[in-house]
Amino acid sequence: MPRENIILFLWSALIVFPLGLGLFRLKKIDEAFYPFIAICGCGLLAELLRFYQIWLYFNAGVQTNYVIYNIYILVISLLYLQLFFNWQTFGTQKWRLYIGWSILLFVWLTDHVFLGVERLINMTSIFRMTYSSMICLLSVQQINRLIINEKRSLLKNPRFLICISILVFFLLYIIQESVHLFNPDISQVFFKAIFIIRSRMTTFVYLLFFLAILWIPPKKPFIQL
Amino acid sequence: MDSTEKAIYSALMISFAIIGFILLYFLISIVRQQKRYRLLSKAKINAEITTMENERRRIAADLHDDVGPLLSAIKLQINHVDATDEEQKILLVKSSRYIDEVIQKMREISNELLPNILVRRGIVIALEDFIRKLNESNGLKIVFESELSERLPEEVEINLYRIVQEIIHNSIKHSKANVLKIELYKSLHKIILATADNGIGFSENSEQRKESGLGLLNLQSRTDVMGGDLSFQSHKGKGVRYLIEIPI
Repeated sequence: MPRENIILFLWSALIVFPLGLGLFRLKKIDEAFYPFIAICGCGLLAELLRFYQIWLYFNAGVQTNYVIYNIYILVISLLYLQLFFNWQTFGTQKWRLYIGWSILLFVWLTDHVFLGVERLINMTSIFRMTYSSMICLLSVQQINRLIINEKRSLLKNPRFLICISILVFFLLYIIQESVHLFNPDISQVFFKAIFIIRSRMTTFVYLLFFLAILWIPPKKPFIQL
Repeated sequence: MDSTEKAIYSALMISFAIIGFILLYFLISIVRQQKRYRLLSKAKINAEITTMENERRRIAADLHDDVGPLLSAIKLQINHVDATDEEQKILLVKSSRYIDEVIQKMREISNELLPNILVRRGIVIALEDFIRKLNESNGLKIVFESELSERLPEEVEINLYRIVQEIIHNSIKHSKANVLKIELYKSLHKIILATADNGIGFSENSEQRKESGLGLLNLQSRTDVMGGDLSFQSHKGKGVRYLIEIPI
């Protein structure tokens, strides 16, 4: 396997630090942030899977498909929506969450099943761009709420840090996907060059994730009757 | 990469750099503006609450120190009047009773404005006294527990006292609870005030939430003034739980 791929994997695997910290603090932190820890966990699994696929390709010549990765993005989008619901970004009524999940599921099914089952094993962009845009909009909504309501420093607010990270990460993701969507014949070298930029930014995002998890407030000691 | 791709790549790199710079500037600007707004807002609420408490203190002192002795002097003089007939005697007794009632009412008002016991003996004794009186006269059973042995700064004690008053008022008026538990204790560098009732609770957009909106704002303002955190949990039919954490 080329050394370059190993280095890229190591950069991506840095998500293990926020995940480790999240698991270490899991019992103490506010339960509203649990989906975020799950997202970090899924992120690590996806990186390991991607690395395994690359390893298979270079060492056994096996060309794998994107089925698991396509399912992964569905799971992660549902978790993000749950996270924003827990933060009351789009209200507190459960039906709003269910509608959000239904929309995501419908777009995913359209992209990967209704438009052709063969798309399930390939890398497609419609769902990726839809859920990224949705999450970016929710992040902007949450940031605006925090600016108005937060009484403490925003730089130590885990929600603010997570939303900023999401904006950076998914905006780059959308750019990458749009390049992929509108230029399907683009060379691998070009695509890789863009991927490397995103990989560096991802490392920065993981650093913000780490700080965010560090500042997740502990569970509130509410009393019972 | 061919020359077209190289050009696209350069354009993308420049775009990334510009977007990154704009995002960074946006972030710094937000943080600075929010900090300024936060300080301004806190100072404004602080000034409002301090003015209100000072005014209450002045009125309570005037009632207690000026009006009280005057009424007592009037009563003393009425008691020394020699009534010539039975009708005048009854009139004097009635007047004396009215003055007693006025003095009693005035003491209650003065006490509500600023409880003497709070200033002299501290938050725990004052709350025990306040809750004991309420338990005697109300359908709501209030259980108060405190492990706090030390005195807190006066403004913190006054604000905590007002917060408890507001929570009890909400429980009686809006939540229809019959049990309210209140705990006050110190944990590391924080004073924790936690309450829970078994009332009807409220959801985000319910009528109860709207009705107790001003009360909630009051709780929030007083908590903000002390630099603390207010959290609450409520679901329809499952009561309301408040948690106020004040750094000391």
